[in-house]
Amino acid sequence: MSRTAQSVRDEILILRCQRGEAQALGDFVRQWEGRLFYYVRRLVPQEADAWDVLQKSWVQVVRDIRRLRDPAALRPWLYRLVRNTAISHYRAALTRQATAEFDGDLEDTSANDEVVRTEDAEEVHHALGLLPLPAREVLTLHFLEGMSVEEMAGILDVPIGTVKSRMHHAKRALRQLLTAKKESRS
Amino acid sequence: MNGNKTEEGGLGDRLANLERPTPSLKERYAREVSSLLELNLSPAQRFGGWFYIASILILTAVVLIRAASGATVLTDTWPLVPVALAGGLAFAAMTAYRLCRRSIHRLHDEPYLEAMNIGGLTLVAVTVFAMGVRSDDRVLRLELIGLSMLFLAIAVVCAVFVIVRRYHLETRRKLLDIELALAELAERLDGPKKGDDR
Repeated sequence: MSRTAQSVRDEILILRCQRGEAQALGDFVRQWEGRLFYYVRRLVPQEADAWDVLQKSWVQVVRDIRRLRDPAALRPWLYRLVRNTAISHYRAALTRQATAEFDGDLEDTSANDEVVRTEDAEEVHHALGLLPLPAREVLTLHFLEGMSVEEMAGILDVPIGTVKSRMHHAKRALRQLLTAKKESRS
Repeated sequence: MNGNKTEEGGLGDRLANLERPTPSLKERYAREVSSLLELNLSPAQRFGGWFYIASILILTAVVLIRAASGATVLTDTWPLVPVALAGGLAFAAMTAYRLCRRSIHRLHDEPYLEAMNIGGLTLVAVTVFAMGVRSDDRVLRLELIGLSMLFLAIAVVCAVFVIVRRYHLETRRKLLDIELALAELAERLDGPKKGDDR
């Protein structure tokens, strides 16, 4: 079983951070901040707060990265850490919304993966802002990192079935928004 | 989970690039993160550091000059003088290193603290041992020597942990370098793999 060069580079970067190399953490921040900021912005309405959340997250990364034993677990670890920081920042409002469930049966979402294409990025970006928080969050993780349902369940701290349910309804809602936008344009 | 990971990876990059942060907020964040990664020493800290180095060097010079001239510098607690000076000089050397770099990388603090802990424990062990050797009370002497051995054992265990951890990270890094070279070679031969999006 061979890994991609990028995944090996990621592990080397973590190792450099764990060895205490001066430039490693700067490289680490530069590598991840764009995607993490995008994710935080989908959770936190105010931009200034999103930057604060990201900054607080780096404080925790500096503190805890030495304890990260499995580099393959970096991505879920990082997103969970950022999410928890955002929840701490917005504890009352965010947890109230995040725990709100969609109605409906659990369904396999794999059949709906063609809901968006890469060139739809701008439409998706705007549509995400119109979706409720639970839908927005799972779709952001899905589109941003291509995460598995299991990884998302770990990050969101909910059962896998709940993630599947959220994904199903989120994709349906997104498709409706994208279709409505296309129809209004034509 | 899905078969369009590459497409989603591309989508992830494009989504992240669509975010348009406010420049002033991003600058403030960048400044704060920079100060998090690199803690600059204040003028007062720099002055304090150089003052300490100068003091310890002058003190060492005085002791050495007086010892060379045959004056009495060694008191009843004579073993403490060289031990204290050695510890002070070691700490001064580390302080000088930090001052010359003008900043402290926080991730670097841990190896620094590890060295300080091991050095401190050793220093305490040597001091307690010296006090034990000088004691006239046989029971107290044995107790102090035993205590010094305990401190020394803790220092040795700490040092072994640090060395093993460093060795493990070093070996892992070498293995990863080899794995990276192989992965890059494979990708050059086969083209980039799916999911390699960052």
